[in-house]
Amino acid sequence: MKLSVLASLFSFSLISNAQQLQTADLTENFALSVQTIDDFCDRFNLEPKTPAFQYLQENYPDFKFDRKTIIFSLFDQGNRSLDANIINEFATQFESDSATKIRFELPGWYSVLHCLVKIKNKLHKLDLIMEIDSVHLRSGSIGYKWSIRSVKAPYIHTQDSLSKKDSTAIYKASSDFLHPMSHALNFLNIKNIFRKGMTRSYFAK
Amino acid sequence: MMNYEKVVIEAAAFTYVRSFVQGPDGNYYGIARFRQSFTGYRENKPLYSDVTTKTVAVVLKPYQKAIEGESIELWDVFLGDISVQSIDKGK
Repeated sequence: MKLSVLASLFSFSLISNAQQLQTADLTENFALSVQTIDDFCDRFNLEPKTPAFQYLQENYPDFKFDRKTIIFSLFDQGNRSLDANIINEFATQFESDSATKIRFELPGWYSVLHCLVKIKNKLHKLDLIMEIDSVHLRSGSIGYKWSIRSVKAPYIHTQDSLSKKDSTAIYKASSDFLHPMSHALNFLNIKNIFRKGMTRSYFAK
Repeated sequence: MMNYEKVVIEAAAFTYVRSFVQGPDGNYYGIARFRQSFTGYRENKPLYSDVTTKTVAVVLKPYQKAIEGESIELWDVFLGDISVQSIDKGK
């Protein structure tokens, strides 16, 4: 279940004279930039409540856009290796109302965290592969969290990351988790999880 | 730390707020993102400026409260971690 919150206007100024940057430019550039992977999904699906679309409607009421145009715009137009005809062909597949929509909460995509870990006082590179995991709550609704799906590093085997000792800590650590918006914060809160000790509860089902 | 005679902080008049998603603890998690420009002045000349994009986690905690015998669901709103996504230096 989601609660929809409309984008609100937010503006403040400590000292308003002698502006170095034009607030209008700052606002527009920010409003039209893709903010997060969720924002990308919402734009791809042409969700009308997407803040960027609301901004366009409020400021450019005559501007018309459809899903094909928006999907086309999501590609990096500055990347010369991308063929505009192929992008156009791809975007055309999503013109109809019944066309596939992508959902942040659904499985089928993952996130890779490039990490530095300290082992015996030496820093080593390590990749964590993260997936969104669903949890059935007592209320009957479904909650979501980020979980570690796999660990990749030349010096570690995936099975090694789950020791037998971990099983005793499952319930003790069950209140600690990576909340479903952690990705928007660049998984900043993963440090807290590691400080508290790694257990099975952080791994995807 | 640099001392400025005057600072100007402007935020974009647009805040990106993501729909809230429920976590495994029953609370709802969302984010708000905004862009902020900073300019520091000394002797009326801009000495330093940057544009920073910040993201803040917002947590909604539902709770029940009995008012005149009727149970009503209310919400506490908390701000969580703040992440700096990018800093573009002007000078």
